This record gives sequence, structure tokens and C-alpha cells, in this order.
Amino acid sequence: MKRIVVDAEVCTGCGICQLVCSVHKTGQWHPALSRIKIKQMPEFGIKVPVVCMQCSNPPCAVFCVMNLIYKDPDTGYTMRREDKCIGCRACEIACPFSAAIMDPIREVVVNCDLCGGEPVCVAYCPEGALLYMDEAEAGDKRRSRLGLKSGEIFPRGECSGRGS
Amino acid sequence: MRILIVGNGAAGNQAAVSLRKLDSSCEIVMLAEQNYPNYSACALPDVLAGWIPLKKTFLMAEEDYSRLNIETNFGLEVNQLNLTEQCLQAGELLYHYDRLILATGSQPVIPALPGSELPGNFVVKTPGDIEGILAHGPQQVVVVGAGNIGVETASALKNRGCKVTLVEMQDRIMPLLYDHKPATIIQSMLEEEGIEVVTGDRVIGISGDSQIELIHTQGQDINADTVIWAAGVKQNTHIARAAGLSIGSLGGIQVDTQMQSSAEGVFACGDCVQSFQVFTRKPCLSLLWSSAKRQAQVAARNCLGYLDKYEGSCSLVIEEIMGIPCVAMGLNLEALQGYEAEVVEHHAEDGYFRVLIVEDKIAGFQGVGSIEGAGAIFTMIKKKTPISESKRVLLNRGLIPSMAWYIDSRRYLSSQY
Repeated sequence: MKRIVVDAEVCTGCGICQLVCSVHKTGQWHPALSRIKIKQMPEFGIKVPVVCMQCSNPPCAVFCVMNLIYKDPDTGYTMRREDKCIGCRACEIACPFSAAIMDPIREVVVNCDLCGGEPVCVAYCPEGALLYMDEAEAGDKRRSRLGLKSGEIFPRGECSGRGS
Repeated sequence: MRILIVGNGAAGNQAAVSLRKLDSSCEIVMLAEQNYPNYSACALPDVLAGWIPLKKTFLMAEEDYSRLNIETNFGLEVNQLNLTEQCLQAGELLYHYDRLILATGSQPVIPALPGSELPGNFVVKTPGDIEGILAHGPQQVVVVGAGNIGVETASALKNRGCKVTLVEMQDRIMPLLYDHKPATIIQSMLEEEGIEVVTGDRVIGISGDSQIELIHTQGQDINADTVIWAAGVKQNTHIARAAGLSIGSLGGIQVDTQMQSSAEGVFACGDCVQSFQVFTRKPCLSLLWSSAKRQAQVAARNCLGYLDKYEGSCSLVIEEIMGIPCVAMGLNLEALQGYEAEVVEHHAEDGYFRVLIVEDKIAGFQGVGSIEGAGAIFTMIKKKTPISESKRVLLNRGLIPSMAWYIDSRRYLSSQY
């Protein structure tokens, strides 16, 4: 199943993903309304976006007292019948990733629904830090980049063994 | 395969839905004494407050059951369970089964006190109770029992414009969830909202001729026209008990980690079972919506032969009082008696937080205020992550980007951050 995969090494923390998410979903230009959140750790210079991980047995669904969170049988996305939400925030705490977001205007809790398969945050990310792909595919990509990096550190000829 | 489910609460309905998701062909029959389709008991105080209409608490309509091909027989009294013949007697009818899931739930207790049979004594359990309370038109209410249901109901009725008194037997409100200090903070919030809170006192009688006029507690007399009993529940285990299933020491149906009772092929889940606490592994009664749903998932999977194990109950209760979230998860100091618990407290500008640490693991968390990052703490409680391990991740520049969701939780872990 495809989901939003974050490439933490590339993210600069510009916040464009938060803005396009909020404007696409709520019509308002405010990062607090976004379903993707940039976590910051200034002492390490770390800025990493966190977004719904699309768990296979989502804890938010177990904790929802209105049984409104479900896995879409066709796409496998974690979806909500938002009109039924009473805003009790149980799912917000049950989510280990803090990816269930309280929408203070409508007083409902929402999560990333991948914009129905065309996530706008991925489209607008200027650095390519957000990828919409299979987890396995993203792992391949990460590994091949690490391989290229080690090639830079140990250029041909300096490595011992075959190929030198 | 014919699977019979007794009960239509959170557990019964979750079991039915999970079974149907795993197996499209098995025959699912639901029997229940309550004549309601699936409703959310947790949303009932919100109806009382007038925030949502009563019809919104219903989670499934009759069409949903027929769409899922689940046969429902609601409003039927189940008399007897015969384990050797594998059948259940309900009224005149016999229902045979291959597998049975008991989700009989629990019943709120109204103690036998003078006056407790007068009109105006209510519990908060079913939509019918709420209709009854609203039809009664309460003006002055005494809520007995300051558990989470009591506090929510009191707050809801206050919102409706009633004069509310909350009476709790123990020395603090929500004694099963909070320690003394956070409970005192929440109590002062409730008092600010206009609710009178009386702790360390119990109701000993109700007087009135045809309706409630005066509530007598040990310490005082309170003028009231309505009493709401939120003083605990009793497990509905009479069917299981009569059939000879083993009953645990706390009064719930004894189950193993696969939610199977002492008889093979008979599973139980929800309020009626005695499960175990995730941290202490001691038997406990978890009377929460989420535990019931998770237990029902496990029971449904094992019922069909897929192996699944219940990881243990871990409570998570969130109340919103005056718009401020109050969260209690895991155990409190009273439940941790016999353990050496370290209390880490934080008086932050956005709230008060307390983390209980036992043997380098988080056993409980109580917070009043901003709940940012509490989700990661809840996962640490459930997974019993050692704090030293969490700190290692949080202090490592190389590890933290791939686990960025821990960043918000670090402020709870230690005062150094």
C-alpha cells in the first residue's frame, strides 16, 4: 500500500507542506490546521514532518468511541466519517505518532486521507522530502542513496577488495 | 460455521463486524436483551449536555446489520446456556452454535437504599436512560460517584443549566484514575464550572413522598429532584455462572489471553470478562470502550482460528472540562501499591503533568492541560519501553529523525529537557 514516506535527511523544514495541506483541506492558511506536522528539535537542527502512518490495525480506530474510523476496503487508507465525530480526542492520544489532528474550527479530529490518492503536500514539497510510494520502494530508494553516499566517502580505488 | 454473539454493546458489535471482515461466509447471529442497535455509551453525556442529538449516538442502523449479513435478535431474554449440547435457550427458542462469544456487559448498580425506588433515580447507560432523564426535567441533581461517567454527567447537566452536586465516597474525584494532586486540580476546575463537589461522603438515603425531595448523605442533606447513580457497575455473568464457566476472583468471566473462557469454543469479551493489566499482569476489570473493542477483535480472530493474543488492558480516559483536556492513562499510585514508583511532576505553563515510573518503565501518566506528545507516552506504557531506551533515542542525532514523533514526549520524561 502506498503512503506518504518522509525522507528526513532532505527535509529543510520550510513548512510548505503544512500550508498547502491546511489550505487544501480547510481553505485557511494556517499550519495548525494541517494534517502533516513538522516536528522540530532545534538543538540538533532537526526538522521532520510527521503524518499518518496508515497503520494496519490502527489504534485510533480501536479507541474511537463512535466507531467512525475505518480502513477503506478498496484503498486501504485509514478514513473517518467526520460528520459523526464528537471531538472527544481519544484517538488523538491513542495515536503514537500524534498524527490525529484536532480541527478547532469544526471541532472534529482528522487524519491524513492522502487527498484520495494525490497528496498535495507531496506535489508541493520543493525538496522531494515527501514521497508518495510503497514503504518497500522507499526503503530501496533510501538504501541506494546510502550506497551512493558511501561511494562518495570511499571513492573507487580507495576501497579495499574487489573492484579496486 | 455458526457463531452466536450474546450482547450488543461495544464488544458484541465489534466482534460481529470483525468476524464478518475475516470471513464472508460464516453465519453470525446476535442475541441481546437490550432492544437497541449499536450505540455509543460514551457519547451519552454529550447528549445530556445538548451538544449532540440522541440519534447521533447510534452507530449502526438495522440496514447495516442486514448489509453485513448479521442476523439480529434484540430484545430477547437469554435464559440458559447449555455447554454440552452447544445451545442457548432464549425464551421458548433454542439457538445452536459452533462458537459462542459472550459479550453480556455490565449493569450500573443502584444500591438498595430507602428511597432509591422513587421516580427520579437514574443511571447513564442506555439511550433510554437519557430519554428518561430528559423527560423528567431535572433542576437540582445529585450525581453519586465521581468516576469518569459521574464527572462527565455532572458537567453535562451543569451545561444544561441544572444545579449539580457530585458526591464521592473516597477522598478525591476519579479515584481509580488520578492521584490526589491532579484530582484536586480537576476538582477545582469542576467547582469553577459551578458544580458542588463533596468528597469523603456517601449517600445513605433519599426522602420524598411521590418524588425525590431530599438526599441524605452522612454529612448533610441536599435538596434535589433527581439522583444519577454512577457508583459502579456489576458484571452480567449469570448465564456464564449458571452454565459452569469459571468466574474470576473479581467477578468477571475468566478468560485466557485468546479471550477463550474455561469451555472450549466459548469466548468472552467486554465488560463481563476479567482480563489482566498490561503493566502488572494482575487480573483487572477493564470497563472501557477501547478494551472491549480490542478484546472483541481478539475473540473474533481466535474464534475463526486465527491466532491473536490480547496484550492486556491499559486504561486511557480523557475528559474535557471547560475545554481543558484531562488525561489519565495506565495506573495511578493507589493501583501501584507494592511497587516502588517514582513520581516525576511537571508544572508547565500549559498544564500539570505527572509520570509514574516503576523499574525504569512508565506505569502511568496523568495530565491536565495540553496533551501534545501524550500519544507517544501511551505507546511507551503499552509497549513497556524502558525510559533509558527512549532517552537514548531522543539524545541520538542519528536515530531521532526516523522516530520524530518522540520529540513532543520528551518534555514529560525528565525535567532536564
